[in-house]
Amino acid sequence: MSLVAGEREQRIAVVVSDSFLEPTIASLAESGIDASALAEVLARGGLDSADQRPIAAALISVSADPVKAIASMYSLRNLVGNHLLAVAVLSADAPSLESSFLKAGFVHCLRQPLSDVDIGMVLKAVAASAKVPSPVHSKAGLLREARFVFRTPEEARELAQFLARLCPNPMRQQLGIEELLLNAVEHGNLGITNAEKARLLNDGADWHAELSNRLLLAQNADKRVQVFWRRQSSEISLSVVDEGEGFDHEKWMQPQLETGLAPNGRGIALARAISFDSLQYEGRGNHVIARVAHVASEAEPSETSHRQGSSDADRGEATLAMAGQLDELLRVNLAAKRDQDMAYRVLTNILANSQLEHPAIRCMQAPLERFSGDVVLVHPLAAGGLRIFLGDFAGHGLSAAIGTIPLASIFFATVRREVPLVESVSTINQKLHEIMPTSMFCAATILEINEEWTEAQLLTAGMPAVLQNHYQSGLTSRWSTQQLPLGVLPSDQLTFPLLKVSVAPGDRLYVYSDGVTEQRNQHNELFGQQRLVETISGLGPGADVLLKLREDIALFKAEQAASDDLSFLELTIIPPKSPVPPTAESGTWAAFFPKE
Amino acid sequence: MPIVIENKPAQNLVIVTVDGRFDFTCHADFRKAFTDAPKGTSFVIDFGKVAYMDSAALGMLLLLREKVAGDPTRVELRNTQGQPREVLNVANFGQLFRLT
Repeated sequence: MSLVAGEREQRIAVVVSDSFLEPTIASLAESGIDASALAEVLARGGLDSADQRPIAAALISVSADPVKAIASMYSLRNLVGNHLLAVAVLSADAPSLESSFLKAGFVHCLRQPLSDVDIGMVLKAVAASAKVPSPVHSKAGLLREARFVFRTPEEARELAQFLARLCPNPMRQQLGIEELLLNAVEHGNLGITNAEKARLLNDGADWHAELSNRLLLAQNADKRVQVFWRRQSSEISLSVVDEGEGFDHEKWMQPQLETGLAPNGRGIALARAISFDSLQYEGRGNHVIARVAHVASEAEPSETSHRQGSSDADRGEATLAMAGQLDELLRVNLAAKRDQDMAYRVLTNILANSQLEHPAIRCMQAPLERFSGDVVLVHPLAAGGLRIFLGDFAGHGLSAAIGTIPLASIFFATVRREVPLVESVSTINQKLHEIMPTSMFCAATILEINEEWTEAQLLTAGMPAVLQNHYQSGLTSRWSTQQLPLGVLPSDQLTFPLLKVSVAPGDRLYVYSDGVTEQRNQHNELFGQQRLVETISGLGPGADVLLKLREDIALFKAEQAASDDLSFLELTIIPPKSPVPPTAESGTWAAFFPKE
Repeated sequence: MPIVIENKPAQNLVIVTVDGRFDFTCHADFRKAFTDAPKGTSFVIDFGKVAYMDSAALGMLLLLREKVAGDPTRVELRNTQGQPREVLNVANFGQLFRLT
């Protein structure tokens, strides 16, 4: 069995988790590599005694207990050497642990389903790139001291890789060394604070460009990082000194609570947990010393190193388990936040079509969470009218907001194609019925103003009545069609009768979600529709109803928290040919006197 | 215990009494009331002691409606009053259930 590794032909072996043994043996048969079972190799402490081939690569399945897979990799590496290249294979439904596995020292992380051919090809490629140590021991074992000077992040990464090779467990130490060297450049010499880095990463700024720009600044041109490496009989120490102002290192030795969702700030704590036996900051924090216990001369691989290696594996297993779980938790949080950011962008893009800045419209929205279960859509009709949709999905937050995507898409598409109102509502209802779970629905008020702005057609589906404040009389009427919320029943079981309401210039129509009327005070009373009508009717023409309502609700609820998303829309009837009234800002008055 | 489930197998009937707030916190208990009920069971949801209900509770009623295959005679919302009655009216659930 042989494989050409580099220029030297060498006999090598691979080790795989038991579940991969059969497919791997079959797919590797023609490649001249054969596979041994991981469990057997670990139990026996190597291949058959007659088999002298070095083990170059391992394929390790990740079952319910990810830490076990990492521990197996360490055990195997302690057994066969640090040249081992390990590949993790996650089950299809495993959580996104990829980055944790790569940090732990796996070179690849794959996910099922994989075909036998895939497995064979990956193993072949990995095994071919393994740098199996030559029988002649490296002269690195004779090195006692070294000093390095560098400036850029790229140099930091390369140097970290080099220095890691001089350590007992390169894959583990590389992470920590890289963290320390990069910190020295970014936070030390370039003076980027942790908060600044978080902001840059969160804003999606080009981090590399930011670093390059800072490296070019005159004040940073001469700044260097120095690294002193020393091997003593019992330990390897690494001393990193930068020319920065230092920092509050105590704070960053443990991951901070406020780091929870930040994209950075965990490096030092991770380096300490995973890579080093001790980590110590000196002076103002611009000098850090990392130590790794060094148990045996690399020139003397022996039984001793094997035994010590096992206890090292146990310790590594324990610290890695903790660090891995912490890291994983932070990663899951970060991933969730990224997902939310993405969803937020999609929703914002869709809602950008809504013309809430239309001169006849004023709108107040107060979502309970970042995502609102309420949706307000406004779009003018080509002929000159206006169509409004105010919806309230059951629940609140992202799960409620998700229905906004199909809803808004259909609303805007149908209004642009001038699809009649009933047909548009029927299409939205049917789509929501088809795609949403039974317990999800959307209460909605849909309202359309005709071309001449003399008539409104409206439909209330599970929503409170639309209120019309008459300009001439000052009286307020309530309009409701009392239909089921959208999405409850299929459209073929429903009719959508529209209510036609005459409107006059200066009249104001109010459409709102039940978050307004169902706001409670400390005596558990509801704000209710009556109070709303009083607020609306109690003001003269041109008054700022939104401002007054906001004040009235705040006064009513006092210390009581809001319990639902709240949306309130005011539509002022402005006939097409009359002058457009100035739009009122919060806290100001706007007066509108229609021409007689 | 905000939700009390009373089984009357002889009458093929389940009576669910909700006390206080009928909201998302009742979800698991409320589902329990009907998921294991045999086919053809009728349900009475007693709202006499419900002080408040939200849209999640409306959603739960829709799940129950699915259980009885949309048969309005097999679900009775009994003693609806006050805020719950108002919420049920605004949502027009009278079209889906018997409100008494």
